[in-house]
Amino acid sequence: MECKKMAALVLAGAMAVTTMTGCGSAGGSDKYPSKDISVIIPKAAGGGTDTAARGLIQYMKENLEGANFVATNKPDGGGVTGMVETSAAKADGYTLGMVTVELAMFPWQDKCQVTPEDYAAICAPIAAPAALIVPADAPYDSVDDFVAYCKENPGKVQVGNSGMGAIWHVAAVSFEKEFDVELKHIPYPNGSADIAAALTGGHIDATIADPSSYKSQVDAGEMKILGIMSEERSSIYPDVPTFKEMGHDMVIRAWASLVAPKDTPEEILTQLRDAAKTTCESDEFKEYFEKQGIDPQCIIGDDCQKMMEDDYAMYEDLLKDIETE
Amino acid sequence: MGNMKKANYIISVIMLLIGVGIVALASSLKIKLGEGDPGAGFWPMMLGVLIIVFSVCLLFSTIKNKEKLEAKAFTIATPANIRVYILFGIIILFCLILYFLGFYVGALLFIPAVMYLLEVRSVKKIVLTTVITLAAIYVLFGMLLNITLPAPIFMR
Amino acid sequence: MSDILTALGNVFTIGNLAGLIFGTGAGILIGAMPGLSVNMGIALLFPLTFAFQGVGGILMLLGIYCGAIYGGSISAILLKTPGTPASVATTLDGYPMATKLKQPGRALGLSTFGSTFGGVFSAICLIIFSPMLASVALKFSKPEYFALAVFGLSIITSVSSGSILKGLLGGFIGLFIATIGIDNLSGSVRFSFGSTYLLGGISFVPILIGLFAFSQVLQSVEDCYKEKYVKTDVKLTRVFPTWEDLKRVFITLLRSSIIGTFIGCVPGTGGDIASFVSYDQAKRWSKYKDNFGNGEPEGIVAPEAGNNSVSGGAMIPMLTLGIPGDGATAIMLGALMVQGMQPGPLLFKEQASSVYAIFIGLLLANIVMGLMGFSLIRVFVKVVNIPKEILIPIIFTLTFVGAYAYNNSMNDVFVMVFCGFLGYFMNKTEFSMSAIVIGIILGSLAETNFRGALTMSDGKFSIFLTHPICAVFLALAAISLLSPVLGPAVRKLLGKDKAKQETEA
Repeated sequence: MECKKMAALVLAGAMAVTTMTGCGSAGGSDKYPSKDISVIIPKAAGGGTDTAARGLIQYMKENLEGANFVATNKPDGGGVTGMVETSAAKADGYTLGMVTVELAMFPWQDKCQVTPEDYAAICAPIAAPAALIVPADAPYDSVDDFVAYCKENPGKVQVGNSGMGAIWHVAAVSFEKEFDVELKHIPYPNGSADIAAALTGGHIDATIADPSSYKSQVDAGEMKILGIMSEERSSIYPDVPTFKEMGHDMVIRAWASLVAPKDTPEEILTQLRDAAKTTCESDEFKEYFEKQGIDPQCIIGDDCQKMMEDDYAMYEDLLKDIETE
Repeated sequence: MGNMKKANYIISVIMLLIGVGIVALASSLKIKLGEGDPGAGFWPMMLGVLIIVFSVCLLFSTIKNKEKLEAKAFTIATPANIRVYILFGIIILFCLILYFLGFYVGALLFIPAVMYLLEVRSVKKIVLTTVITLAAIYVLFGMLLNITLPAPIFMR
Repeated sequence: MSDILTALGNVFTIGNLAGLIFGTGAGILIGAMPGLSVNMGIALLFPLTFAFQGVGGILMLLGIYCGAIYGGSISAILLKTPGTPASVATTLDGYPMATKLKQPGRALGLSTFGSTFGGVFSAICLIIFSPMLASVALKFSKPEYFALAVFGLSIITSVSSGSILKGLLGGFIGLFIATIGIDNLSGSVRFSFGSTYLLGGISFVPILIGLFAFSQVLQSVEDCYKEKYVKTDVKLTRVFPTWEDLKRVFITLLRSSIIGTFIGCVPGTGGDIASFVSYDQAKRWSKYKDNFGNGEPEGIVAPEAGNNSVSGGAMIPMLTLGIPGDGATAIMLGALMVQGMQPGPLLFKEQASSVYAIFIGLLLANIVMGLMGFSLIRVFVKVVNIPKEILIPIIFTLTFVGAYAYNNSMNDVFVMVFCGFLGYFMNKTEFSMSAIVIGIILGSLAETNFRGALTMSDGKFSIFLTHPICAVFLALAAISLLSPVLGPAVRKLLGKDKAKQETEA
């Protein structure tokens, strides 16, 4: 008897919960957005991609009437799971996701099947360029000096990266190819903090990485940036020359883009892109990023899609030569 | 009844197999000693070999201390154990429900089921425990920390 | 001097203190919940800091940071469920004291005292020795990191009292689990069997929850079968440790705090390794060696003082060099920058009053944490008084929530359940689960730095001997690893010698 009563109670409760939660999603109307928009972040909470994503949606909320973004971190599988999940989500504008430059690299390394073509880009708030960073007391003051030094000491100059096959290692390898030098690649899988410690402690000679992670050391005069691999000079380090200016066409950037699944309706995409554009151009947004040493970008819609696909094409060549067995 | 001797035999055989498996898998990875990084296979290969060595050690030490270990018994088939095995079943079922119907529905069935298994028959106790636990989880995770728990499959 | 006064004025406002107290409370809660990590707590509450002007937000984050490291010990002691990886070692003696000796209040009192002492000690070190410690920490390169990891791993022999062979096997399995996924050094994929989930490796939090919490609850289900319900009513006479206890643990407290502060200021290492090393060293030097694992007070304060003193240590490289000492301080670095401070060599010159505000804040956060801890012990202990048949389903539900919330991954939940089932049988066969977890936690630190060091030396193994700090650590680790094996043999030999001498005499 009691058992039956209990079962009935539990069942009633279960039904109540289902209908309650069901209501939230069923109450559809034609106006977008009419419910929470979930944003899948394929990296752990607190990292660079996460900070950028949360910053972007926090300010974007104000420019998209009625929108409420809910961020979910899915760092499984080195970020692949989260990116795949975004591409496979229902293309109704209620599931967006961040994708990173790894999306342009992983397919060539047999680590995932999705490519930039599986998404519709909304905007890229960050695109950190690779920069050649050395300790301030190093005997070279320009990229040419550094190259000359490398030629004198082939295979001896130790360059820190964030792991073989990861973007900054690829940047260092393309540097080797461009200047015909031989470097010794030292991996620091935990990333910039460990590289900064190793550079300051004099354990390595240089690193090719995102300069924003080394801002405080550069400002304090402990490290110097010799060159930057971007299209234009950085707004944070306007004095640092680009490799392009020096006649070397090298553009390597670690971007993170907010994207929607491929077949998302055009009018929803336009709405989102407009909101993102207003956000990226606002001063508070820029200030938020600049305060953290990040150079905010405003790459919207088709430009963003083009950047993702260009990089995807570029890495095919670059990664061919890097063996990752 | 299980005893430590039998258990150790089983463990050393399983470990031996795992060790051999690791060595076999690691041998397909790059191992290159003498110049720079010894390769992705070196460390797992070393671990595989160590596991093989120590499982053989465990085997011999078990043979040597046979009597002492035989005396060390533990239970694996008493009614108490069987209750745990029933719980295994409930948990696996819960995992499936969690996957298809989401967390809140699943937990609404799971908590009463576990309590029933533990011989709680007071409906009031069961309902209160279930409701309070879920409400607390909803407030802490759903509202304060903004963590979404698994939703039913038709809502994803 | 005027900077200090300005800083005091900045810190002691009602809003800021409220932020600090809220942060500490939230931190304790987050720490006590397995699956919610320190880093996650800080990252999730980070947006709240914008609501504060000036140092208030930073004070809140400091509160979360300290509170969460401490909070992990509460569930470790009462439920044998480490809330954070850093409190794995606390279960070893905390849980026996709370259950076998039926003194949960004493255990919590000791852990609270240890945590507070460690935290305050490290905050003082931060204030006095910052520049000096920072320069020592920078001496650490890959060989030293490798040695430190091995030093941490050497605790395996001292935690696997049942069977050292099985402990070592467990440790190797843990180290192996850590190799699954993309190898960060070469970029190649290892042991993933084509699965996307395994590509990124198995995260250790679900394994930790499964092996400890989940299997422990399964065990209690077995234990409470047909057990007539006895109303347990633990009454506490005192929450503050007794004078005898304090005298007994004082040297351990000091030693662990020094170890923790130093490990904290080495970038890239954190509370987990500090607590392992502290526990191992406490056992090595203790007069009550044999009591470890049975509720030894030193075994509780050592890991707790060790992991909490990491907080002050980790702030050292962050403030002086702009290099975060662990994941939590990395997020805090971002928070400081949003508030317009730029940690690094210039901070002390240009924004001295902010630096002092952080110093005072950290000191205060630890004190608030201690006060909160001591006043809440009576509440925490109530958990023990909850009848098993109610507590068990609740903990089960929480393990599912924790395993899922860590990565929002259903696969993690399945891993957790699988490890829980496995752990239930391992418990019976004296297979040390701590050893596996320690292996997983320290695995990648050990491997990447081992191989990284060889990359630097062009493959010459001599690099591990020519670096003095590295060589010393490795030697200590070797002694630590081998002593339980060789110790009895040596003692036997010495004992026989004595016996011989006696017969000869």
